[in-house]
Amino acid sequence: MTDQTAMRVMIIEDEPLIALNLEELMIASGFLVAGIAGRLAKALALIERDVCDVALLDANLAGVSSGPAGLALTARGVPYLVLSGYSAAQQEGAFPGAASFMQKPFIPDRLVEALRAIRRRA
Amino acid sequence: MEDGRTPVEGRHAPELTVDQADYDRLRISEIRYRRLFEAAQDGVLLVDPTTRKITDANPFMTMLLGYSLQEFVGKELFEIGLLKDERASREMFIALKVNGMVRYEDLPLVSESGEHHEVEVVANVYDEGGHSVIQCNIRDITVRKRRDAHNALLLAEVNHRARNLLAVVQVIAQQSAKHSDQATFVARLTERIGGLAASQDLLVQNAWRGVELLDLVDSQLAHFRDMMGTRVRFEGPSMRLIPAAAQAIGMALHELGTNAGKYGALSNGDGSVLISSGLSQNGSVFDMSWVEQGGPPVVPPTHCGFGRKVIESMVELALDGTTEIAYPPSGFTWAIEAPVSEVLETAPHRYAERVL
Repeated sequence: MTDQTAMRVMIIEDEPLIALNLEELMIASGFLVAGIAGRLAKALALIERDVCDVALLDANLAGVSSGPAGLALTARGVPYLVLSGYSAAQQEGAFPGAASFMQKPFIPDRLVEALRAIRRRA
Repeated sequence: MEDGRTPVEGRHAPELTVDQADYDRLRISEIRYRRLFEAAQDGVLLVDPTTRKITDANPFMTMLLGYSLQEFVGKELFEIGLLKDERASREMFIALKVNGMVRYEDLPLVSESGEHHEVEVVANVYDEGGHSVIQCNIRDITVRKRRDAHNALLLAEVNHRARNLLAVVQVIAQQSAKHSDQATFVARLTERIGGLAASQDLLVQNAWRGVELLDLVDSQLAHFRDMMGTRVRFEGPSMRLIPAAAQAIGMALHELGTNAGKYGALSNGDGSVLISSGLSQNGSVFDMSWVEQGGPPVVPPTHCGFGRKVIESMVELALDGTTEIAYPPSGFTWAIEAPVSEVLETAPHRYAERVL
């Protein structure tokens, strides 16, 4: 995969407004959105079904840890960034496969840069 | 001394004589301090510094560890699990000799029945008329520790929620800034944050256990309070929304209200809005609609602003539902259908228990 093809990003986020904003940010940054999930079950189904290059993963989906989604992404070889109101230190244990952590609220440019960095490493 | 009489040694030893008043004072002192020892809600052990063996233990100690007084007496501290081993015991006695006191902030202690306790221990040496005694005060801090851990968890959760809410406000600010001059931006942002705060109030009032739809309508349309029941009517059964649905529907109601007040049926003198909600026949689908009538001529918007995103894609995503928006000549209409499981509180306290 080269940098010329648009990166496909999966958005796993339970706050719909933030999910939509992320979708806009991804499109504005030249990425493709592979899908949006706000609940763990839907996220697992999406990971199973759709192909993506990287995922944005909210640590907590409607009160449920998204740890299983992290494991499913790792199993499929998809790097992911944990985006959460919790600090990275609080999250590292639950997401051993995370490529990166970012705390909410976040700076849009930094998030885009972090996703590009993950892709360069992949 | 048990018979209450004063022992008198004889005329040749007047210095050993204890008169009745002294004896009474001693007796009162003995009762008073024995009572303190026995009633204390902290464990107290007395230890002989030479033999390092326990010479006395108060009832609280018996209760805490489940050993009888007889079982305590004659044992070394490590034998009752207070110190890890003989070496730790020796170190404590050296420290006591040097400093006169030692303090352990939290020691694990296991009772005879296997129950785990966290204790705080303060030991000090004092002189008891010519020979030293070590007094160990043992405070059970298990409950405090557990409460501290629970508080730390709650604080982390509060911080998480605050940060999420800030992230939502950040999105609202970014979105409100689009296609807006500065004055409009400030006005819309302020209104939207106000709407969010009103929903937040309802959630907190109900301890995050859901919000009654009618209360949500009242709070989001507070601006039109004077028209409630006349130009703005609500029809539907009592329904309790889960917190995520309350937040999303609350934001949608806010945008619908703002729009009606600016351009729609509530912008003139006699238009009206009917808000209805209900469930499908089999109870599996929630529906809600907003129907305007009697407003100025309907003009479909030329661009898709933030308000439109909120009442369409945002609520759809939040409720896993589908919306229908139309601009017939009679008035603007909005409707949503969503699985009831995504909208209504079924088991009480669902969200609150899962998070905390």
